[in-house]
Amino acid sequence: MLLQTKHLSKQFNGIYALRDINFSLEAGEVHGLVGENGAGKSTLIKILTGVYSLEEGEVLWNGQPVQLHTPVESRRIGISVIHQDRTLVPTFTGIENAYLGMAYPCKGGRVDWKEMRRRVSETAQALGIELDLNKMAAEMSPPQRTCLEIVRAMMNECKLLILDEPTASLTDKESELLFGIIDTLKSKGTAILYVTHRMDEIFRLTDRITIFKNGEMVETVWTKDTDKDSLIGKMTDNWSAETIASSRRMGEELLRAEHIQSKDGIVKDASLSVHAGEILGVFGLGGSGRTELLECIYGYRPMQGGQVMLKGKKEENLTPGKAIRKGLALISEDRRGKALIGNLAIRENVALSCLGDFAAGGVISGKKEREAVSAMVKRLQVKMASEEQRAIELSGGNQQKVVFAKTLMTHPQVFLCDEPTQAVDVMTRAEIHRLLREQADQGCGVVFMSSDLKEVMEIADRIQIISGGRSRELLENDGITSQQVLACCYHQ
Amino acid sequence: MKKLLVVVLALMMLLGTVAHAEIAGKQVALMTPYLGSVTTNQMVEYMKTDLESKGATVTVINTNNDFAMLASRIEDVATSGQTDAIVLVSADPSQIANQLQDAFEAGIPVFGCDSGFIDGMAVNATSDNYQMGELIVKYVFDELMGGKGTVIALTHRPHPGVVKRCIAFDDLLKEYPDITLITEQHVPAEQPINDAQTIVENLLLANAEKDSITAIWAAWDEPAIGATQALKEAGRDEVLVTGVDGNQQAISLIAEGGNLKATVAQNFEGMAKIVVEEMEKLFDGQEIEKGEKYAPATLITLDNVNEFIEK
Amino acid sequence: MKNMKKSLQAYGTLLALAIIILVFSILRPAAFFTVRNFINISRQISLMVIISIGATLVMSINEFDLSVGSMASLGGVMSALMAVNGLPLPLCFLLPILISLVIGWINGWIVAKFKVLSFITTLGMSTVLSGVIYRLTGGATVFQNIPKGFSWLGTFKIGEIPLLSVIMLAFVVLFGFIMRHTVLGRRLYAIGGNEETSKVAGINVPLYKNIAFALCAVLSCITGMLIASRVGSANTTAGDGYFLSSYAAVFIGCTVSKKGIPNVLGTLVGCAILGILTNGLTMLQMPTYMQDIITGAIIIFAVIMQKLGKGNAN
Repeated sequence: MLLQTKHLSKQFNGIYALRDINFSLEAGEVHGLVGENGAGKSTLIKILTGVYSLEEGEVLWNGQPVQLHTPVESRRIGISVIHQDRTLVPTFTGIENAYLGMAYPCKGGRVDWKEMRRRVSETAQALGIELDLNKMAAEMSPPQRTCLEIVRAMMNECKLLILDEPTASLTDKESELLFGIIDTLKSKGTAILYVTHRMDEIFRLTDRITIFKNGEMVETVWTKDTDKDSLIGKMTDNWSAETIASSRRMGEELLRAEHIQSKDGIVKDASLSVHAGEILGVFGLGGSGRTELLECIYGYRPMQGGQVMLKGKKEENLTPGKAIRKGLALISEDRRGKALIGNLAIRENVALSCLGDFAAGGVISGKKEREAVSAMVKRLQVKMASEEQRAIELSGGNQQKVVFAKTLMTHPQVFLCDEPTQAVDVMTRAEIHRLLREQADQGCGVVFMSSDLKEVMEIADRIQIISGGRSRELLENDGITSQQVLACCYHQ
Repeated sequence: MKKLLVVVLALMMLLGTVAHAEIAGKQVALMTPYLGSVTTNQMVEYMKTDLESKGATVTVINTNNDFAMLASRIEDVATSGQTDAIVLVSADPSQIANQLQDAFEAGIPVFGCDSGFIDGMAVNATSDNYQMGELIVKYVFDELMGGKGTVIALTHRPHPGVVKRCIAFDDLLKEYPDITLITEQHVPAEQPINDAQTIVENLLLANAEKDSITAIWAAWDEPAIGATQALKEAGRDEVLVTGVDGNQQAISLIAEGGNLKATVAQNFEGMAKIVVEEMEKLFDGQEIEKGEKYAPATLITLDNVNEFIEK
Repeated sequence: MKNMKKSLQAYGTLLALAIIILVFSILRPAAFFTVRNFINISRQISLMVIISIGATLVMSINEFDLSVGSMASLGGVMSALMAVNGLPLPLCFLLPILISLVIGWINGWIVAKFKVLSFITTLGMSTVLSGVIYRLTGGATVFQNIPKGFSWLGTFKIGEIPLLSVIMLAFVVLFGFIMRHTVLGRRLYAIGGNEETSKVAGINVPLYKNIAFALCAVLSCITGMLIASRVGSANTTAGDGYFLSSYAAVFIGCTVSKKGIPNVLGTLVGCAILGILTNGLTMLQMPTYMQDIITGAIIIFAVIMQKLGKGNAN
């Protein structure tokens, strides 16, 4: 047994984040770790990587008890982690990043760059990773950065690689690349702890799966002996995979974007149209310009050409402020970077876009604000200590609910949702789907963008394909298969 | 005939100021980066008038606070070969030492007026900060305090001029056993009036009894002004204050007859006078003693304050 | 134990203030702990508080204004020169405010429009302003022929209470209210928390940056004019000394807030700590170097306390 935990617990301020975990991992296996947000997955990872100190229980490494007080100690025995939020130095080259935290080889008092390059490219080759190591991390694409992190992890002899939502920002094709690398690592005997919300990946990659629920370990199962529904059943207390029935009554055209071209050239010629009552799925692979297209429409990203029409009226020079007043709303994919202010209270986040509603002469009525915010967070069932809690302290799913609460406060008619369920637990995901369908049924238009094709097919009435910065086919979501959709993306 | 002789003699007597005066016809360059400053301007005007009355041609070169420009202008003057003497006014020669070297090599005598002295120069006329310190401290200790009592010192020792006054204060304090130093407080240079006022206010509260402080000695005028304002507000009219420099705000406070009793004026006119005299000696072929020459400072008190008030 | 740590984080700075007051009260009971001395302290910190509120505004949007000091100097010089040249006194105080508003607006505009680091922009502006001061005064203190009435603002007392203390209090209340209860304050904090999120949320970020820098310049200018009025002359570097201490006060002030963000009340506490230290240590007739060492150590200590508290919260 490579790794074993015995009666491991961890509490914060008297509340158990993990309770009595007895978990084990074999060398050379791919082990899935699933659970809703807040189930304790991150806490376990942080204990194994030495970020949190261990207070109760013990960790055995190859049968021997080990102390993991610092990340360095953890790395030294062979545990590496790759996070959702990548930890590369943007201005360093691939080689420098691969050597982060390691001693540089020296020759005659000077850094031996040749030796460094040799070792890094050797490691990369052994993993079958092709990467221009002289590029700065900032210049690399998301999958390239993930690859670089893996190279970095493998620079030392890594016996256990922890991958925390590694495909969150990767497209399917890019994910395939990652899966190939995982296979290579596995064949070399490296154990992999794979943490994700994506069921398909779990079933495709893992040998065994451990399920966490509310800080406790439910059980470890063999992947081949289980299926998605039973797994989901173990993760949540009350979950049923309900399909949202679409009323399918399309109303007037609310938003029409024509031949949008962004100033930075990422969006080349994209159009889309959303009607009242519909959810328009937008699907495209990474780098297709889908995020940028929404940002252009919303007036956040400078446009070079094209026009935006709201209810048939042409809008010139939209800014986010103007867009909000005209009934547009953007749920950004970059939750921490563009949708939340982590350091501010939930109340302040929710009220951010609609302060004017509570203010007279620039002075905010605290009472009105609190009432409105309370009603909204109650409606969305945000789990929190109080409305004065800082947004950063919430779990991913609840953070996203706060973002939706903020958006709903402005009573938008058109929702532009970019990966709205990214890194969100299964329950919240379903709630978000339901919410958007409700809004559509009430006569709003919803643009739903996700890199999870299944999700798009689950919720959308029609699917707009984006590829290479251009809009392509518009498909009726009526008996189409994922292969058909992917075919549109790949065969351009 | 006799009459004519008298006239001729009289003329010769007149020129006599210049008879020992090859100074007539000489080209003198007065160079400064700070003509905007009141005192610098005063010295330049005095020298210009005096030298021109003696027949010299005077060029005033002002570079508006720009030392690099001053350096190039000195190069110009040194290489043109038409100038017979250079006077640096209120400009630190060590900052332009290389350019002055050109002038020295060209054999042009360089004088300083309130500038500083480096080897190669003829004379720098300035005031002696130690002497000024001595003058005012003696006045405080003897005349104002009668040799006994308590004193607070407001100082700023990082300044090369001010620190010499402080050393004079230290030296004299040792000679007066009946005078005790309550505390010495450093006053920052950015807003000395306001800061000194705050410091003195706090010290007054800590020494609230009347006559617990005999005098406040400030190493320059601005803290003295701040101290005076604090004393006035607290109604402590028994505490005596002095400054150094003779700035106009201080002078008008002395004239009002309040807490501020005295200051020392640097004798800028005296400095200008020394420069002209030494230049005359040099052109006359006499040996001059190279180095710093001090214009004695003047004590300003209520008795003579009216002479110093600018209209 | 944990609770103690937590309250240490929230109230550590206030506790430090209380301890400082207690220590001085024991060491100098007759002089320090008196109504008169507290009135005295309130006047002494009044100028620093006003300029520090300006710094608080700019720091609330996560930017820096290094030109507060020279803006204050310029404010004093402009207003004194106008008074010397016989302008009606109200104008002598109003015109510089308008000019500073424009200067601050330019600061904000450069920062927002060209995305230049505010650090660099305002450093440049500070140098420009010093140049302008030199051009206006030739480097000399403006003193001659300042009318008597010019000093009224800085020296008038309402009974025992100096007008300066009242002005300070008015600014604290006004800007405390603005930052807590108005749309403006909320948006400034939003921008400071996350500029991109604020943009997406429809806030006109450049506009609010301009406002923050403009208000900061105006408050600096007012401080400078009050210094000049207080001392009856305008020193060309009068405001420069406030630059560092005002930011020290804002940083200490951040530690008073649970979120660790700049806030007006915290800034007042910060100024009070610095002012009371100066006051008490001078009363103890402590040499200046010791005052510096103690003051600096307390600033560092306050910030460490906050970090420790935060680490615990995570």
